[in-house]
Amino acid sequence: MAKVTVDGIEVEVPNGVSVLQACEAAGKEIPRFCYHERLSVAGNCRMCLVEVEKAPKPIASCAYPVADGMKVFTDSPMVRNGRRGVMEFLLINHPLDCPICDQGGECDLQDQAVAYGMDHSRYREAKRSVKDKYMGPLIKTIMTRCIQCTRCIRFATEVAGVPELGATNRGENMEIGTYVEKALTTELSGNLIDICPVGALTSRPYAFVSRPWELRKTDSIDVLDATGTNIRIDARSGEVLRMLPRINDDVNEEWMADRGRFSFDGLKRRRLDRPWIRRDGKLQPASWAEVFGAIAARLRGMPGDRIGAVVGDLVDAEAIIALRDLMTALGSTHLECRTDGAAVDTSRPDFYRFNTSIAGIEEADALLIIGSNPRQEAPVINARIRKRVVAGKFPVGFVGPRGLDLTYGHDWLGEGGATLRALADGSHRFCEVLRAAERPMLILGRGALTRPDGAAVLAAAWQVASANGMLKPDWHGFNMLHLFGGQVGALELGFVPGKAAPAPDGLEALWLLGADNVDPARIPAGTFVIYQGHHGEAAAGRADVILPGAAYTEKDATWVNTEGRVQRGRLAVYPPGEAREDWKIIRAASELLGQRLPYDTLDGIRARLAEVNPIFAETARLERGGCTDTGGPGGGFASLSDAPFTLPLTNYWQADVISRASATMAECAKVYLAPAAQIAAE
Amino acid sequence: MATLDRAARSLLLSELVSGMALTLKYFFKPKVTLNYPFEKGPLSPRFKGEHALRRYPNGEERCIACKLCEAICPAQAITIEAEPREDGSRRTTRYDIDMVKCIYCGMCEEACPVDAIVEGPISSSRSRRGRSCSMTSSACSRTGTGGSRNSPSGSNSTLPTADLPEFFPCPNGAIPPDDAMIPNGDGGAR
Repeated sequence: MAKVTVDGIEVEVPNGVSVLQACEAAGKEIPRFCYHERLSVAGNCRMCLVEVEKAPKPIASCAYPVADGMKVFTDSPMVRNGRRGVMEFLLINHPLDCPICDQGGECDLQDQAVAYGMDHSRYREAKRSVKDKYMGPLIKTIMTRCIQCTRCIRFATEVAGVPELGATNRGENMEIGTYVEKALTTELSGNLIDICPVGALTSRPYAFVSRPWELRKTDSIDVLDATGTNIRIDARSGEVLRMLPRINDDVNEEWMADRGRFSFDGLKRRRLDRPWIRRDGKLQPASWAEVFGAIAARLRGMPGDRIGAVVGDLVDAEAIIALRDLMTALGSTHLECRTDGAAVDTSRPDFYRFNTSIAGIEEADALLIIGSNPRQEAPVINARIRKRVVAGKFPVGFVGPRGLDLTYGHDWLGEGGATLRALADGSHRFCEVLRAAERPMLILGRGALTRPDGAAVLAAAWQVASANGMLKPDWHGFNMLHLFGGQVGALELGFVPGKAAPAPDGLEALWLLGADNVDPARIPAGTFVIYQGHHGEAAAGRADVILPGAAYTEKDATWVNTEGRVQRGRLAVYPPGEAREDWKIIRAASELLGQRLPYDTLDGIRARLAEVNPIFAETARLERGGCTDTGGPGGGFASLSDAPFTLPLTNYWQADVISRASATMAECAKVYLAPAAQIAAE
Repeated sequence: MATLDRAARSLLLSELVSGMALTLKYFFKPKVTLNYPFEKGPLSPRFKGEHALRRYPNGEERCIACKLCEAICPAQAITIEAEPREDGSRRTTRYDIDMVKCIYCGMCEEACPVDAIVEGPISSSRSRRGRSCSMTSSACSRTGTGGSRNSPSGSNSTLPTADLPEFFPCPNGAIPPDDAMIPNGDGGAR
C-alpha cells in the first residue's frame, strides 16, 4: 500500500495504481477523455494533468503510478492552466456543431469544456475536416468531431476482440477508421457509441431522434439474451427511444449486446394491441369481455387433463407463476416451457444454471465449451471469457462446428458426440488440461440439448464435469448457457410436465403464453388455442383467441438470468392499445373460470413467487456455492449419438419475435448475413 | 385662519371649478385613445409578438432541430420532433408552439443558435390565428403503432361475453381515435 496525499487528503491505495485512481479514491474528480476503467491506458489526451510535488511539469495522472508519500495537487494554478491549454488544443479541430450533434447534452467534451476550458477561442485559422467512415448499420460516424482518444480502437481490440479499428497517418492527419470500408463484425458494436466521449460515433437508429434531457429513464433488464444485462430504457411520450447498459460488475460490467440494444423498434411494429377472436374461421378483433367470454365458455367444465399450457422464451416470472397456478387449479399437469425441445433437467437447479457465475469466469483457469457459440448466444458473457483469456493461462477447448471465430483463440476438439464421449470417459487429450487446472469450468449450450439425444448430452457433459474436477465443494464448474431471458425463470418455477402426466395428445385446449415458436402443424385440428403475447407469429395465426400482452419494457416484471440471478425490470412505457400485463390477464381469466387466483397486486404475486421458489425472495444478489452433490442427471450417456452439434442461432440479429419485427435488425441481418450467404453459395 | 380659508374655498367652489377647468382643457386637446382593432399604435422595434421560423435567402430552413428553444421555454410551449432528411442533415418533422402556453418571453429567440425562431411584430391578440401555430415545413408522417385501430369493433356479435372482474378495468371499445393521442390536436390548422 502507498500513502498518497491528494489536495491535503491522505489516502492509502495499493501499489501500482495510477495517480488518477488515487485521486478518485480521495474523492477528487479528474477530467479525462482517453482513460477508461475497463480499457488499457493510452495517455494521449493529456486532460488528466495534475501537479505532483517536486515534479517540474504537470503529469498525466492516468499513466503515472503512485509512489509512497506522493503529494498531488488537482486544483493548483499549474493544473488549471494546463487543463485550459489542453482543452484549447482539443477544441482547435473540433467543430462547433453541438446544436446538431446527437451527443449534445451528454458529451464529455462539452461538459469539460464548460468546466475546465476557456470562455473564448483564440483560433482563427481553418479547421480540419475528415471524411466520415462506414462502420455498419448501427454506428453513425462524424469523424470531424473525433478527438483521437482511441477508446474505440482499444475497445474493439481488447474487449470485443475484433481488431478492425485503427488509426492511420499521424499528427493532424490522424484518422480513425476500419482500414477497408466494412461493417464492424462484432455483436458489441453499440458499446462504441457509449464509449466515445464526443459525438464522433453515435447511434444510427437514434440519429437526431431526441435530446438526453427529454428522456425519461427507467431501470430494466434486457431479456433478449440470458445474460440478464442491466439496462436503462430511455423513453419519451410513451415511446422507447433507446436503451443503454447500466453498470453491474457481476453481470454485464458496462457492456450490452447489439440485439438487446437496438431491436426495441420491434416493440412498435407488428404488435398485438387488441384482443382477437376466431369467428367463422377468421380472426376478428374483439373486446376483452368477448374473448374472456369465449374462453370461459370453452374451458368451463372441460376436464383439467384436457388442457395444456406452454410458455415461451420471453415471459416474466409473474406471468409464469400465474399461469402455473391457474393450470394447477384447473387440474392440468400438461405444462411445458422448453419450446425448443431442449432436454433440460429440472430436478436440480444446478443442472440448468450457470453455476460458476459470470463474474466467476475470471476465477476459472480452464474452459471447455460444448455445443455453444457464446459470441452469439451471450456476447457480453463472451466478452468476459475473452477478458479472462487475455489475462493469460486460460486454455479454452471447444466442441462444436469447426472454424468458429469466438474472438479468442481456442482449441477445437471435435464436432460432436464422439468427442464428448471421449471427454466424458477421460480418454481425450484435453482432459489432461482440465485435470491439471485448479478451477476448470465448462459451458454447455442449451442448443446442444435440443437434439433427440439431448438428455444423453446433458448426462455426458455432467460426467465431463465430475470426472475432470469441476465439481468441488468450493467450486462449481458446470454451466449451462441459455438463450433468452425468460427461459431460466420458467425452469426455476417448475413449468414442466407433472410427474404423472400422460402423453399430452388429445388436448382440447392449449394456452400459449408467448410461445410463438410452437409449430402450429403440431397442434391437433380441434384444439382450442389461446395465444397470449405481444407479437403474433405462426402460433398466433393458429389461435382461436388472442390475448394481447405486454412486452418486457411495458411491465414491472421479474427475470432470472442464466446464472439464476433474480432481477427486476420496471415499466418504461405503457402497453399499446388494449394490451395488458400478462399476469393480470391470467388473473382476470382465472376469476371467470371460477378458479380465482389469490393475488391482486404485484406484491401479492411476488410473495407467491418467493413461496414457490425462495430465490425470488431476494433480487440482484446471487448465492454462489460449490457443488455439494456430484450425482448427475439420470439416464446416462449410453445413447449419445456421434452426430455433430449444430448451433441454435443461425441468425443472431433476428433470433426472437421482437428482433424479427425490428427494422434495424433486418438491416443488420442484410448487411452481416449477406456476405456469408454469398460465400456459402459459391 | 385656516378654518376661514377652507370655508371660503368651499363656498366659492374653487376645487370644482379647477377640476372642470382641467376637463375643459383636455376637451380641446387631441385624443390619445385608439380605436384599437382598427387603429394601431406604434410598436417598439424590440416588440416580441408571434413567432416565425426563418429561412435562409436561398429558401433553406434555418432550424436545425437542436431543441434548445424547447429546452429553454419556461412555459414548455414548444414541441419539436426531428429526423435526418434525405441528404442526412438534421431537420424537424414537426415544430409546434402552443400559443396558449406561450408567454412571449423571447427566450427561444435568445437560445436559437441559427436565429431561426424569431418573435415578430405581430402581436398574438391582433392575429386571428387560433390557438397554436405549427411551423412544420413538411407534413408529418409519423403514426403510432396501431395498424388495426380502425377495424370494426365487434359490437353486433353473437359471442358470449363475460363481465370483467373489477380488478381488470377495461371499458368496452376503449380504443381512442388516432388523433386523440396527439397533443395539440389541431396541429397545422391555421
